[in-house]
Amino acid sequence: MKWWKILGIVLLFYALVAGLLLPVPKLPILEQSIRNLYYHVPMWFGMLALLIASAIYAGQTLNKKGSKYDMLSSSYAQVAMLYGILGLLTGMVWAKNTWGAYWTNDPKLNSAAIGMLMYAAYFVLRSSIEDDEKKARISAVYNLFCLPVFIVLIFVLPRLTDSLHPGNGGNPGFNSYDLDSRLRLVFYPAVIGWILIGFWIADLQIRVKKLADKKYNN
Amino acid sequence: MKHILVNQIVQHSNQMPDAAGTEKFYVVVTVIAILFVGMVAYLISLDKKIKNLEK
Repeated sequence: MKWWKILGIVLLFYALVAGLLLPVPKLPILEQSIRNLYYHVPMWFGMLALLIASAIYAGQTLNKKGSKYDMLSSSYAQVAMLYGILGLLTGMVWAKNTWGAYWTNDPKLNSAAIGMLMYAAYFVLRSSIEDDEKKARISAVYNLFCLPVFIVLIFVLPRLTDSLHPGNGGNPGFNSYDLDSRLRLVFYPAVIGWILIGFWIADLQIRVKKLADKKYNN
Repeated sequence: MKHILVNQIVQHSNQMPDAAGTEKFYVVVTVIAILFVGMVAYLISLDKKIKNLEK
């Protein structure tokens, strides 16, 4: 087994256990729910890393016209969606405990939902085209269009309006007032761990698809 | 006024039970750890199976 997979397992195990057991700063309203910082935020980091990888391979698909790159691009996008769903669910639980509702009419939350729907449309688009080459090219163009829009939706638009979400709408991000050294001890390993595990799941999916392709061509 | 409100919030947060430190909490951590180990074991077995198929 490759070293980065082992590193991913070790870091994530540490983040899961230490994230629940190590002391956290006592913050009003957030209370113990601050521990969700180790799970909710790294999932979004992981999602973004996977979406960037997906967009890079989408670019390669257009440059080199290879279905191999299209397969890589779609696999990374699929795992990114899994992370996105997990990120939304952990965010909803956190919102219920701090804001009093699973979903509020907040620009950050709505933007995240729109971004996820955009990528859901990517998969609908892929499934609607039968010709493999055409599917690869059109979905690659759509993927390259999606990423910058997604980044604007998640990181730019919520900062321009009022928002409950930390780091948006004039609210300070966790980094500036409560991401102290105790949180950092778990937060950074958690980010790296979630990213590595995401790439591992995508790697498994890619290898299965390659085997299926090989079998189909024989 | 603002000072009183801040004091109340701090008092309230001090009264809240600290989940970490109760015996039930360790049970939760153990269950989560077991679930994680199970998921990792599944990923490793999948990795090995795919490796064998690739050979």
